[in-house]
Amino acid sequence: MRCLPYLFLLWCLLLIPNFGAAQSSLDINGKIETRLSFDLDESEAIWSRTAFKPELDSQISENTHAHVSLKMYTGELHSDWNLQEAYIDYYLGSLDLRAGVQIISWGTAYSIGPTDNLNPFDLSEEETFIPEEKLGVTALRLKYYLLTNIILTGVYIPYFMPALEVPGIALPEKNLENSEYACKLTAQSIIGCDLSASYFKGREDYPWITGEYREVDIFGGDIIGTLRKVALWAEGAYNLPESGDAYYQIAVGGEYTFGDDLYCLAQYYHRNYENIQEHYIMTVLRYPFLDIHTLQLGMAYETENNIIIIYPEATYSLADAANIVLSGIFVQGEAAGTFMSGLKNKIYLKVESSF
Amino acid sequence: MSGKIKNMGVMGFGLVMGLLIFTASAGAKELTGNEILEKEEANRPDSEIMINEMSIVHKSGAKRIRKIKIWMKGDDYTLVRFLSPANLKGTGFLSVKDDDWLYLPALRKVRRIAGKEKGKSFMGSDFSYEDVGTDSLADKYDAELLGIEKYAERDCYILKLVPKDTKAAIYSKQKRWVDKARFNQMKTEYYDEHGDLLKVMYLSEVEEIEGFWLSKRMEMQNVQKGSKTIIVEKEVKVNPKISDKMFTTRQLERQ
Repeated sequence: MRCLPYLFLLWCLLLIPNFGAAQSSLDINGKIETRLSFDLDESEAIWSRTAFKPELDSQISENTHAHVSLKMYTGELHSDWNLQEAYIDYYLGSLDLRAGVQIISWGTAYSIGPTDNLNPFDLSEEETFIPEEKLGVTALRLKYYLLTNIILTGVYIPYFMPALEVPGIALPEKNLENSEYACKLTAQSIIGCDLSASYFKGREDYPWITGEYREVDIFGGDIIGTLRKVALWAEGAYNLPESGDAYYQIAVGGEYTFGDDLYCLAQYYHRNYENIQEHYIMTVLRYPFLDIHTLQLGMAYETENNIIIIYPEATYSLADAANIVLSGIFVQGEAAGTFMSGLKNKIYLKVESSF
Repeated sequence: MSGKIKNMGVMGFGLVMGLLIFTASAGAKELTGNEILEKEEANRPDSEIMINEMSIVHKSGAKRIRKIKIWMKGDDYTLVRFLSPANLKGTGFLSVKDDDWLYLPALRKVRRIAGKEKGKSFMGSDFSYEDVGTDSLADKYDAELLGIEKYAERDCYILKLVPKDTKAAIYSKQKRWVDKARFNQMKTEYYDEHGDLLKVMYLSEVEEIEGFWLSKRMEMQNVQKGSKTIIVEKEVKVNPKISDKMFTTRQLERQ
């Protein structure tokens, strides 16, 4: 935290030379949000957290772009900040290069992506049963457009970053041998579908089973298309860890909007992990009320343990980019499994504004 | 021989006079509804780059403003980028023929989305995708000329448009005011499947740009919902050269 003011100063200094030369290419945006959480269990505890997420984009030249985004938050539990992303884009002919701290998102599935393994979940976010945000990792990403609709992507991550650092479990050494690699081949507009095949060599983000961050090879694929105005997707991955049994994950889903109003999403997710079978059925319904506000109802059902999680959300629009959000998580059954363990009944009240 | 020649001369003179009279009468003949619709469609650029401000005014009086940049080429290529408000900034939408993709900066990926339905709302506004689209109306509708009347101090043709294929149509009927001299649309009434008035579009601030008569302000009033959307063109480039490479997911992903 101590270095934060200096980082800001450095950031501001970096901006100054650009102001005179290319004012129009410099863009400062961000988001401020403050949130109250109410535990509905015996403790009836109240927590608060305020976050500031500034973003800077600069078009340095026709072929070069830079982006920096920070996340700072303070609350009763702890205060912290992190460099969410800081990268430079360089476009050269059919090649797009991105170097720096970045979030790389792969796959077509909703929320849980079997092939989306390059960044760990940001566990400081806890509003939904699956964290919505990921942590940036230092990486080099190359995208080569073989044709306008055939894309080859290669990623190199020099060192491993876990979602959860567990005391007593050592992180792998930062050396070439422990670097992570991934590649993906994407084809778009093939009989009305986009499809990809991917490979990842790296480590698992959690040391759940073996007490270590296992090395893993993950072979994946995904497809998305439309059938009679319904978007349909499927994504799957076969994981080969260095020790223990191989396991797989699949997600199949679809989305449709009835009229101009009612948005519906449904997805089935299955994981067979160390002989633990997990089946999730997820649905999301979203409907506008009084024209500009939104009601959303999310539900997840874990069939093996009969756990139901309901996460409703009401968004009241104060202005174009300012909202009050009332949401909650309600758990029916003994919460267990990869995404549900430790979940409690909670209500959140959040005020957010973007600029 | 000379008599034949004389007769031929008289016949030739008669033929020429006949042609002149026919041509003159044809020139005076009023255009048909379909011809007017075709002329209106000819008054459209092949490509455009625009920055528009879209104000959506809901029945409750709440107003939301979106600023968007649009690249259009022919009937098949559209790229839309949100410039504001801040929470939508950077969001992009790409349409290439029947394929559509969305880029959401928060998700950091381009995602194929279900094909747009022509009757659905364009970005939460009172315009439908068909209203703002570039598909040929002459291919879908039969136009009948109902008459000529003054509207906004301009002489206008009044057309009644009836869909050729009623099952595929999103409106049962349109009534359209087209400027008699410039062939630009001035006002249109849209009727729902029950034949009731659904929406009225008013076009104003008409300017001649690069030989095309274009409206810089469009207001769509939904008389059934009580809402309205106003699109004001802030900047426009008419018939710029836009490469097909602009309409790719690679461009959609770039900020």
